[in-house]
Amino acid sequence: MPKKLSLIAGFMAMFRRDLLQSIKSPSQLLNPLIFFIMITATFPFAVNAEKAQLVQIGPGIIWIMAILSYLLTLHHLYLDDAEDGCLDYIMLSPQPLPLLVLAKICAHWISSGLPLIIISPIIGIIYQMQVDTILVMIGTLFFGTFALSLVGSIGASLTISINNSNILVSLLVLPIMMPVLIFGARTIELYQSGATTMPGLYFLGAYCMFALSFSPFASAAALRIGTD
Amino acid sequence: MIEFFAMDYAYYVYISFLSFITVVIICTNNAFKHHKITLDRIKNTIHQMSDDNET
Amino acid sequence: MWIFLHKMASPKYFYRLASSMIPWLFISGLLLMVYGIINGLFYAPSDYQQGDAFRIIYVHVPAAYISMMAYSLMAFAAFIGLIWRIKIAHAVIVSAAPLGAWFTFLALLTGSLWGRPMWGTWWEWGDPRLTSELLMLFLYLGYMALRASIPSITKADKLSAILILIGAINIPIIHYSVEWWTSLHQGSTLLKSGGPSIAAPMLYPLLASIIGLSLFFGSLLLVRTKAEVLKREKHSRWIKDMILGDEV
Repeated sequence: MPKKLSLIAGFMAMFRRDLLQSIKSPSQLLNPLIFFIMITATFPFAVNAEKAQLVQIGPGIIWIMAILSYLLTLHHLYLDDAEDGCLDYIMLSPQPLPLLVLAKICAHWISSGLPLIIISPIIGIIYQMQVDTILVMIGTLFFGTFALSLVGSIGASLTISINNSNILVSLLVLPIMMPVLIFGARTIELYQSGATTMPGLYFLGAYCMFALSFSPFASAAALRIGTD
Repeated sequence: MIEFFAMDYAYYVYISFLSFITVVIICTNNAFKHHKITLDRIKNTIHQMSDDNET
Repeated sequence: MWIFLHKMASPKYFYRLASSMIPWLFISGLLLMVYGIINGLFYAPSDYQQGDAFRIIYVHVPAAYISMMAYSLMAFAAFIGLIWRIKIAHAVIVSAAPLGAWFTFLALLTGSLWGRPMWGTWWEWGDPRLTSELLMLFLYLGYMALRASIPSITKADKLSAILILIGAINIPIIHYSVEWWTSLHQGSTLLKSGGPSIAAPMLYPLLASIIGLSLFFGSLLLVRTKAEVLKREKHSRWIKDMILGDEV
């Protein structure tokens, strides 16, 4: 009884597998989250800021820490599978590798990005944000974390044959992530000072679409080259 | 010559030009030295190999 | 022409051709640069708006142009190397990266030195052109870091070529950043419809400086690529014949 070989079936199988794996090892999920919460929560103490200043620097800090803690999780995207040999099996499957890579990216985003997005309102309250600003922040983080998953997978797949590649992945991904960081943080700041949010959100969405169109293929190509 | 130092913002202009010349000299030196070192290393290896072959 | 391009893919032919081209490119580039710089520094008329600080244009614009041209060259060569598997293309990318990085740094440095008298600030963090040029420096450094950390040459070639192609989106961003966003940096002066909007005695040293630095960059690129070809092909027959015949 051969299983269905449709594209959707392949995608869902990979997606489910990765999601279940990340649920079963909660420490991988929680460590970056705790890192994010710890640093954003202790930043006001270090800076000794007043309320008005906190409101100003809040979006930038939240965005930077979201990116940094997210970069910590990218490390695991392919390395865990490469270490125990699953990656070779994945590459041998009849499903197109970009599709499976996309499934891994989506599962990674749900397991790492969504907790970040869910925690962010609490951090937003620490930085004295109003409720509507928090909604804007969630919107920007939604697109931003997805874009970071996409672009980060390219960095992770390029460095798959290197040991201790954590810093290198960050170095490679950071230039490409700069527009997302700039637009994300700026959109929130501009909203706080009265401008509309739509241009920034449109840009972030467009960046996601653009990254979505080439990132699975680039990652798949890099994986094949890196592990042959 | 002294009137050239009297131009506006003389220091900025001169430091820019000096940095340009410095970078150009560094790149040239680097490139030719790199080539020379690689070539010498290969020459040594090949001459050594051919000497070993002759003996 | 196709036969010429076909021959260029062979390291031996490339090495010979590069050896003969380097002196021409070096000397012509040097002469044009000297003309451009001396004229620009001492003989071009003062700008009515910016005074004498505008003379930094004669080093800033060539350096910025080279920084972008080197990356475009690397992206083009990465494309050729990945699709047609021509090894020389990867050697060219390796050689161009340090040169491009140096000139990007120089563009940022001279731009900042120009910005201080003109705009009152050494750096402006919100500015799109400054930020994207800084990003390009990080792309160069990231490329060199990635190459350095992968021991196998063929793998390093292909993976870093992918990286270069992904970062190539930065080039149109840098170029059009002054049109798409409000920026401190001024807009295009040379490549405008209607011709360059700069006076002739100022224009010619600038063009000479740009073309001179491009030729000079070409000669340095060929020197480094020759060294890279030597390193990659050191076990091959033609190198042995060349060295034993003392041709170099």
